[in-house]
Amino acid sequence: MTTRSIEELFAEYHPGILRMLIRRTGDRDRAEDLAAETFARAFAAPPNNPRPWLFAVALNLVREDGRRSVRQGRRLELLKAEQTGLTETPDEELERNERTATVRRALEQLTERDRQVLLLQAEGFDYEEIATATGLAKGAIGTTLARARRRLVEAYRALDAEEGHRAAR
Amino acid sequence: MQHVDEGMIHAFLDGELSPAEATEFERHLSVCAPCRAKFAEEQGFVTEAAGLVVALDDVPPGTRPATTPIPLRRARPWFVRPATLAWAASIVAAAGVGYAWRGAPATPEFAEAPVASVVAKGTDRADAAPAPVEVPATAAPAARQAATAERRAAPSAPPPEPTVVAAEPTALADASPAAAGAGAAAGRANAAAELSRDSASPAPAAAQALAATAQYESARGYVYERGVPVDTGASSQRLAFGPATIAEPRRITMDEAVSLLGGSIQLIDGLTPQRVEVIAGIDVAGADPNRQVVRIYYEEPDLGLVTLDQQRPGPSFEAMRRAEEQTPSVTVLPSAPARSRSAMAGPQSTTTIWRTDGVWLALTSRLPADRMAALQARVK
Repeated sequence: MTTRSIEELFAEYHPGILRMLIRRTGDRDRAEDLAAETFARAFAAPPNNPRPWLFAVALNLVREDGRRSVRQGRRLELLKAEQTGLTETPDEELERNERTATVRRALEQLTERDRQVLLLQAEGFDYEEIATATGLAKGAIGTTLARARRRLVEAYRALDAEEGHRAAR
Repeated sequence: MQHVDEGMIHAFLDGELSPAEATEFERHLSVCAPCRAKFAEEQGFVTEAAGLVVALDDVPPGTRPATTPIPLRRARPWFVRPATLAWAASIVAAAGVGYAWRGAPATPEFAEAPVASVVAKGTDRADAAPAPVEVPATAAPAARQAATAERRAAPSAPPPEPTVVAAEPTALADASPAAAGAGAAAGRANAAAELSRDSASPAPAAAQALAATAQYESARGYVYERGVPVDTGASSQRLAFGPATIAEPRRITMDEAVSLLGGSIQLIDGLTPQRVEVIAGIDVAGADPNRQVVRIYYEEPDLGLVTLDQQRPGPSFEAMRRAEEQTPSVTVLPSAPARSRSAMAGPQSTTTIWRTDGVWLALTSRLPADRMAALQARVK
């Protein structure tokens, strides 16, 4: 932070942090609030190693936020765009939304630690950075990721099959 | 070597083993069938899990924030105010555009971009002089008003060749920067403000078109100190450069991608696309922010994740590029394809941006420069 301003950090990391928070929470409003809070904390206490620090703070905020069930944010109504020509058919849209919802339920079945490691890796973190952000030993990251990936996939498959059965009935 | 465990397989697939460890790992796999089977299974989990995580990004297509004012229960930190976001976006856009131009040949053919609803008649849109527009008698009143505002904004314009602009506001928003110049930008911002303030019966479409132009230019650093100066009531425009209003990438089919790009698409020869998405141009450094970008994902064991972005930039983008080339404060280096870091694919990724046949392309991967160049040569 001595050499990089908060604006630079914001420009570089905000998109990734927001994306990760949306993946984690499934709620864009909440993700935006948490991202803003993350940078507010960076502004108050400038980190030396900003990337793992910012992402770790963001993930911790998700946890705290979940515990408090505090929603101090804003309401942002989402509207469908007028233009497109790219619109999906209702069936396609339904299918995609269902898939997203199923993946989200699968993700919720993971432990917090597994989720964090998985989402950080998806943001391009290497094992060293994941270890720094989560406090895990670097040597444990591969095993944690292996477990997290397997559990996500298996949970998704199970939920998907369950929904397939329900739909068939 | 003992049998490989799951952690080691994932570390190998994530590129986390040292060269010596990786060699040993591969050697063991070559002689151990159970470990090969295990490896194949874990590889499947890695690929599938990556796809599932990306699926979490999905939101309904075309979703955008409402244009109604957003109630806030607490003050936002200064760095998430819209004006600051526009400023921040300008850094990203300017950096990306700078890189994009370094190796790009000046080609006028973007005026033909099929996505454009602008019809240029007998004139090169890249002319830096502000070009008054002639609106057909059948055009909507809103468009006429915008054209008037355009003339007001640049009263000293030399008589240019006539240009016909389609009567929809988005076309005007897009066409206006073709007449770019920083002065004209400020003029248009004022004109839009005037329009929304003065009109007894406001023409929101025209005001919005002009506001969009001012916004476009402000995001490029022309008048960024104005931040978001135009109150047209179009909140979505005001926030257009904050992450809040950017549509999530959306998965599309290859056919949709081809039609979006005007009938043809560039692919990496010999690789199989894993996923195709459409992304807002503003989200992609160096791309025309007013046009959508098609992103193709490839994933191969020996290459890792590779993305190929492409779009047909609008005529305004090309004109803006030329106008900025003539601006002394902007350094445009004539050099080989630029390499820049990409915010999209992680910290060690590099992006190569170039143009060919009127198509803007950006290749992103974590490969070293020589392999990146080889991959670029396979794009056709």
